[in-house]
Amino acid sequence: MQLVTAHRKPARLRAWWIPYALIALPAVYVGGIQLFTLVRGLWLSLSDTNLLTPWDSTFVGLDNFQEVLTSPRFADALQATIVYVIGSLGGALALGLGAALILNARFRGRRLARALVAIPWATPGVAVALVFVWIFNDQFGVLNFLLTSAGLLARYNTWLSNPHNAMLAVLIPTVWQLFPICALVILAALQAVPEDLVEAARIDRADSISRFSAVILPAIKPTLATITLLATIWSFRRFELVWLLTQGGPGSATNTLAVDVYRETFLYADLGLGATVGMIGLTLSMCVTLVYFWWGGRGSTIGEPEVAR
Amino acid sequence: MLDSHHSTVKLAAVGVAFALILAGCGTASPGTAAPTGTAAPTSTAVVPTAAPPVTLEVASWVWAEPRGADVAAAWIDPFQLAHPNITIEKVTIPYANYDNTINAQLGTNAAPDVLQMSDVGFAQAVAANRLTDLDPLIDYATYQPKLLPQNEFGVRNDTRYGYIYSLAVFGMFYNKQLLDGANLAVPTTFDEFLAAAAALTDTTAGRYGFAMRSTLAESAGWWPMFSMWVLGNGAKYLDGDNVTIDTPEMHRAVEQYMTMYNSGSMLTGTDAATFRRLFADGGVGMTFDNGLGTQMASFPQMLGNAYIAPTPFEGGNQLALPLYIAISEDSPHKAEAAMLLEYFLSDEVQGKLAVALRGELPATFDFEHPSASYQSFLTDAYWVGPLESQVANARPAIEPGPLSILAPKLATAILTELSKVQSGEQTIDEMLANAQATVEAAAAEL
Amino acid sequence: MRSGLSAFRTLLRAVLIVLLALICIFPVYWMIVTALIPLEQLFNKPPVMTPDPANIDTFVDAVTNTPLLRWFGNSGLVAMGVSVLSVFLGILAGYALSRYRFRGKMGFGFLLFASQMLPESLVLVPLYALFVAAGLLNNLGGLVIANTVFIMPVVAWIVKAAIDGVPYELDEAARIDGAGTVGTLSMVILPLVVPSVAAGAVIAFFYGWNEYLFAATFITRDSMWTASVGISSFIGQYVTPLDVVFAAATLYAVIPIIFYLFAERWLVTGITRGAVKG
Repeated sequence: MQLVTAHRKPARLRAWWIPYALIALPAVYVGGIQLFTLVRGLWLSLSDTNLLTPWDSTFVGLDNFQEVLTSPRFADALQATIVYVIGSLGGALALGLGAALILNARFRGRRLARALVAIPWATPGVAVALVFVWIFNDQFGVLNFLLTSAGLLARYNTWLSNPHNAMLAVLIPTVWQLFPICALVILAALQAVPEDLVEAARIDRADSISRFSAVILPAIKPTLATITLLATIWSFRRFELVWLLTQGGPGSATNTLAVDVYRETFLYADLGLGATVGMIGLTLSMCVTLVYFWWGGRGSTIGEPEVAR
Repeated sequence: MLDSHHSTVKLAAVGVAFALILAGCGTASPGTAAPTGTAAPTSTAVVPTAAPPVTLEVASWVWAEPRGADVAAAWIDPFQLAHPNITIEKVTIPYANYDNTINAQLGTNAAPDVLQMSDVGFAQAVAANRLTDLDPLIDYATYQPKLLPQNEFGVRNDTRYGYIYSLAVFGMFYNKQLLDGANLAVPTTFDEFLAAAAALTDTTAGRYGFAMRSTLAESAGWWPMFSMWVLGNGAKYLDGDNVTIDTPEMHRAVEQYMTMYNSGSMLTGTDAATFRRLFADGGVGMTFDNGLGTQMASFPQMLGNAYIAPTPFEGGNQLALPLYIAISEDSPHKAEAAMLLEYFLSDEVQGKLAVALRGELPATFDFEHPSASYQSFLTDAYWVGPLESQVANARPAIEPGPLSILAPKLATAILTELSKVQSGEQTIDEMLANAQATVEAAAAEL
Repeated sequence: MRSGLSAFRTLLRAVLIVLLALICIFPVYWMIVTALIPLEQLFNKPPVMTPDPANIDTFVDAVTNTPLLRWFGNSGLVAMGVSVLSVFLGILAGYALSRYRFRGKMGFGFLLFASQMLPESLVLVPLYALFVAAGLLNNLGGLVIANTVFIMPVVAWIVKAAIDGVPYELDEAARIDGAGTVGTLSMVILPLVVPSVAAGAVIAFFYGWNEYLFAATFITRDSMWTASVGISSFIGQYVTPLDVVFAAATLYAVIPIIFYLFAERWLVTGITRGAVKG
């Protein structure tokens, strides 16, 4: 039985121009804008340009890159970014996988539970930031209240204003917003695992953990891989939530590369350096993508990973 | 299975909707075209008699606030009535985003004609030549007698780029009832200040003696409040061409700040909205802040009980943050913009503005002869008195100078290092040394 | 013993489900609570956990005394525009990617994928300059154009994956019947992938509704603000009316949530079909 249907063209060559006609509009539109911004970004990164006088650009070659890569602030930003990406990825995948496993069984109210799970994802970033800033408020936030009432905390803690806790405080709303899409995608993959496979596993192995790792996990691995990649590059690029929560502070505790681009471009009005940091961030994303495809992409083309069969 | 009719209809609907959206693109934009950069004659303030219709864009964050209506009523609306050919469009940019957005707009030809600018934004715009020289457009001599001395800060490189839109004088707010209840006089030295804060603190009742901003999340607002300590101790961040961060005066300022921070009488780590509310409700005895008038309008329970005093540091300066009003270099309507600005500086508007700004001082202020409306404002605004007397002694955190363009990086460096001292990660000496080094490096690149 | 174990399992599962639901709902619940608490009580210690639900004055205040409704209208326009445009382009792209092999297919796929990697703040300035030159500032259509670039690829993938699941025999049957490409697409393929298209439409709608950065930068006339910018503008220089802010934010957040709950059936099926193949 074929699970993946053939989507090859039949042997006889159809009108060759049809696919091009189809993709013309999307390609020109998306490609045009992206290419323009990318080229301009690249040009800016090689120049010394002030935000207020963008026409007055001086070419400086790789000076910006040298300045950025050797600055301690960049090292901090890189560290913050890596921690942020790994943290949000790990949290979202773990919570997403857990939620998917829970929702995978049949139970009453399952439809409602599935609907509720998506609420964090549907909530606008501005609202999420506002409410979490309030929840994390050092004096009056409900988190401190709940934690001390439950005895988990001796006294009120500082969250967003504390360089040691700020990253955690930023990761929590991030994971909250990110995990539903992971959960729903993984859930779908779990439900696509054929029943006979599950049954066979249940007969072979009594222990649900080994059942999971030996049988189910490989079956959903391609989906997991894809959602991991997507979540990773989304985390690299995420700006709005971090900015609204801490503006990259305190210090450089949550100053990820995406936040640093904004700060450099708009606060310091330095288009050149801002574009440079942006380019570096983009390169990192691309490296991660390449690693993904080189490592896990068995027979996959970009955007078309297939179920392993 | 093949519901062809249904699908064709759906496809058609998509196409129609798409077309509508594109059409909507055209109608969604209001008629004002962005100025294309051809400048109106700049050498005259004479208004042509056959006046063509003109639209002026005036940018400020105040339009979004409750005060904005009063400011508009004092300034914009009468002007429009007097000049029917000029339409004024208020460009509102939220306070949190203001500098960023204005900077981005100045980098295009689409900046508003008349701009309210923050201290830092003004310096950046002047350095990039984005603002117009105002002296050819507005006769300074006419207004000079009444102008607050701080208007001189609008002069950079011997050119006047801006007048004061408002001067926010910072001071120490205190809750009179609490002070009286503890038999305390208003502190005038740091030791008295520390003692008063300790006396007013009652953690079981959730009350603190002192509060101010102290987190990087609120850097823009923390900067002036911290600078009050610096100025009060007679220290300076910059002195002409020199970076003067690592100095004994600065050291003393930071020491005093950290003493208060660690004393247990200071409410730390909270944002301004929170501690201002607490102050209004008697949960905080003293704060370093500005804008008492505006806060009182939101928290009427403060009336009669909240006062301002100079900061309790001996021999130093008070802090006053100027906000400027300027005309963009690319404005095609400089003559009309200058008219609006002159109207802004007229006695009539300034008198009303002093009331509308609720305690922030406008550009001109005749201390000897306040206007009638200001007189009546004063009877209610019992607390304004100290503000007026502080003005002579009040300076901004960074004065205009060759290095003042470094303001954002300087502020970030200082506050970042300070927050590390707050969390115990480094000493004050290290903080000053690091900040000094960072700013000197940035200065070297200028 | 076996039934004991499965009873334990069921109980454990029930507890976990409740926990999951709590995690998901609590912040939204807290938004509503904060909006309902009168301003004076907002700073109580301990915090008020269950306010009086009849306290809707703040909501009424937020709706009548601020331009909130107009902002919602603007957000809605942008969201719908993004949705329609993304679906339209996404169907074209998804169909091509699914059914055809052509030179440059890999490049096109990568182009779509690259949009997910570009940081918004990097794109902001060139895009801003472009919009100024094109006169697209203060124009909701401009926001639609900017946002679609980033969400259309996601819609395209969902549609593509769904179309992958449609057997090619149907295409061939349609061709034998004389249908052209458009005919096959519209009459054969699309009806079978409606759930996925709907999912894509909803995802794109949310993207447009929730977006903040472009809206904050490209729109300077406050009557044209979208709700995300408008609500953040309540954070004033001196005073932030927390209760009004949260009332507005709650309304702003609740609208897509309710929308989602209604469209949920389609949405999950749509993502399901897409995800299994991807």
